[in-house]
Amino acid sequence: MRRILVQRARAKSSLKRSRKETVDIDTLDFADTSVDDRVLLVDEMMVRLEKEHSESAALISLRFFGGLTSKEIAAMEGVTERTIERRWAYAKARLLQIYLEEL
Amino acid sequence: MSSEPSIRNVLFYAAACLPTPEERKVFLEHVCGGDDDLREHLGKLLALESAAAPLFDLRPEKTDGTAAFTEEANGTRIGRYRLIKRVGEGGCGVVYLAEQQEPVQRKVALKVIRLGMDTESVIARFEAERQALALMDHPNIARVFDAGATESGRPYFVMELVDGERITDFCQAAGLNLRQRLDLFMQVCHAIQHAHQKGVIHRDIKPSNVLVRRHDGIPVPKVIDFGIAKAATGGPGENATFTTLDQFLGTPAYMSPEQAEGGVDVDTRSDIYSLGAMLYELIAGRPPFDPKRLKEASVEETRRILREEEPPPPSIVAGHHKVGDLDWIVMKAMAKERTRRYDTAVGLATEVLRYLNDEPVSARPPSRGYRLGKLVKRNKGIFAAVSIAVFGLWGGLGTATWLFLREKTARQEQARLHQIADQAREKAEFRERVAQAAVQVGRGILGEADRLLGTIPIDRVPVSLEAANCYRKVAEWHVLGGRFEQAAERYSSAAYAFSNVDDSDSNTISIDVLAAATSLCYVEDLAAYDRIRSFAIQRFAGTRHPQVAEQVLKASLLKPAPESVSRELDGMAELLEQTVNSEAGWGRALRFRAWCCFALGLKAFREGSDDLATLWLQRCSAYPEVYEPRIASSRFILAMIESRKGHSVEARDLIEASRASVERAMQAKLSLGGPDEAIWLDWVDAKLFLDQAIASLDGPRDPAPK
Repeated sequence: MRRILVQRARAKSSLKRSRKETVDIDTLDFADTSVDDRVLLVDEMMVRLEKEHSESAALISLRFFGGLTSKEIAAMEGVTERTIERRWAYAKARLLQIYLEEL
Repeated sequence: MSSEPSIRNVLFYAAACLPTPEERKVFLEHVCGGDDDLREHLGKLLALESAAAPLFDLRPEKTDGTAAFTEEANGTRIGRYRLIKRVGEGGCGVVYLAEQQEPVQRKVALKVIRLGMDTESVIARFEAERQALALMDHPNIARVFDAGATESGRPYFVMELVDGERITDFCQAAGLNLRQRLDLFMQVCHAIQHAHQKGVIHRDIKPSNVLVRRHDGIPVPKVIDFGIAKAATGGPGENATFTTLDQFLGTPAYMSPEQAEGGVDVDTRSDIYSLGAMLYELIAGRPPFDPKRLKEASVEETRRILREEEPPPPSIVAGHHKVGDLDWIVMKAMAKERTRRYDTAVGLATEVLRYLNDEPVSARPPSRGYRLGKLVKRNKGIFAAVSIAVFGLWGGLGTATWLFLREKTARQEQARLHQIADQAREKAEFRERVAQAAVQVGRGILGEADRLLGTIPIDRVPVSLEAANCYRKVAEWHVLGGRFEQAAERYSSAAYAFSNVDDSDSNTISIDVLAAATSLCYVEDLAAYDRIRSFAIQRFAGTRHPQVAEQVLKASLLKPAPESVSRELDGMAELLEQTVNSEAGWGRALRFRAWCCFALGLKAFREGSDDLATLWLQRCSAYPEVYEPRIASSRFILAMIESRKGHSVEARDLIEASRASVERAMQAKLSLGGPDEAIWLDWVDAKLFLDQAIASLDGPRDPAPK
């Protein structure tokens, strides 16, 4: 699923326009970015996150790329939904942090 | 980084649970101690948490949507339709006023779906539903004519043009009262019912899809967008509620929990929920769940709210202080489990109508068990833990005691209920027998009537006028046949039945007492006589009716009475004295005055006041009217006084003077009374006194009570 999304996003962005950096570092405003941009951005950061904290990376895969709900993931992992929400908060924050560190 | 990622994770989770940045900061300072790197790292990470959300937001860009619509400017043609102007913007599309040129020229509403979805499948689904949509023909449903794709590839729908306001806005603007609002709502319910009968589920009932306009001054609601939610969202196997990007279509404020959950198994009861939510808003003035809150909440959070939170009762929100039936109706329609909702839209409408007519509604406050169940469901973990702990402590003893007590109470209760039921059954049975007996009496078959009445114990005689009359008729029949034993029993029953049904101070009841007492004394059933005497004295103690007093007095003194009985009769004796000495009222009837004198003489004799008794009895005899039973009775009492004095010759003379006439009368056919005939009980009374007088001659003397 992740591969499909990323490939589709890549194809689209290369067709429409050359990929440009639209993230404003100060305000962290992603509003101007397209969905495709975001998919590609998250995908790039995943490589590092997987090395650093594979649990977070797996969660992002399932939720962001896989489209599963917290409930479904919780059921899968045998933990509470609340736990998944907490992990999700960390994963999101850490992934963004990695992105900011790379800039 | 000075610590393991796993430890950082744990600290991050803990800090993220704290609501304010200040609290988080204090927490981090505390746990990180001197590890500044760790603190800084976690602080930054926490700050990024909320900022990261948009990065993972896969919703399409808002700018994209509006930009696309500029293509469809006024005057643009879409298929057979020419856009005239843009009239509104809904949750999932933009609505245009358009003109259709062929086959008929008319104005229509054209809705272009905004979301970037698979146009072909939307249109295909609409085509599939078209057959059902075409079948719908209801004045409160806007027709959907057509569907197609714009040149830019967006699906659109063509609908009957409805010029009206959102139902909630209309009610507000027109200042409709609750009754008028509910009237409108019931019309909507009937429209939805029509659709459901044609197999169409709306799936998106909300105030903006129910438009109201006035027709000749009467507000008429119209439900729009039928079939569109279905076509725009789900076909079989597809997520019915969300776009492919996991986003709610439109507002979830009126959406049933199961629909928000995204299940494909959405049925008519989902529409019932939405109707309930709309009814809520019509009463409360706001939707059940805060739309702003739902808008800000994540999809997961929204689902949780719809699944778990109970909105406050609408009446309370509207400013009333009490929860009423209407609240229960709304709550039932909006039940989280669809099996608890109304089965049909028309069922909901009927219930609202019942409320308007002040009739009881079937929706009731959820039982405590139900509510407890909900609580347990919401907090499964806690309840499980608490339950284990509690049961561990309680152990078997508590449970056993409880079970035992419950069992015992249940058994006692059951026995009591059994008894009540048995009594009721018996009562009904006895009533039925009396009714049958009354029929037999009417047909003159008294033997059969008596047989029926004989099966009813005297203390279970049904209390009714019919029963009393029936008993009396049968008793009289027995008297005429000379069967005093049976007569006594029936008269007693008649007296009881009468007294319980008629509490008036009436001689029609006391005459039965006298008849019963007479018969009982005659058959020497003294125990029963005692009972009826006590009953009569109690029942007529305060009587102001001279004839009642005379009859009860006589009935009570047919046999020697104890002092206590005598005292209780003093009031009645006083009443009789007044009557005798007065020339008005009952006192005018000479025959009755004679009887009063006899009764007073009898009382004085029973009390041992022989001189006073003699005075009264002589006064009784002085009345000119010749009534043989009375004359005989006075003579027998006087005879007893003489024999008490030891004057047996005088006593014997008095007895012999009337003995023959009494014995003759008793052998002849007794009469129930008539103009020239003596009533039977006067003769029987005379016979009783005759026997007592004869006994006073030769037996051991009847000592005068001192």
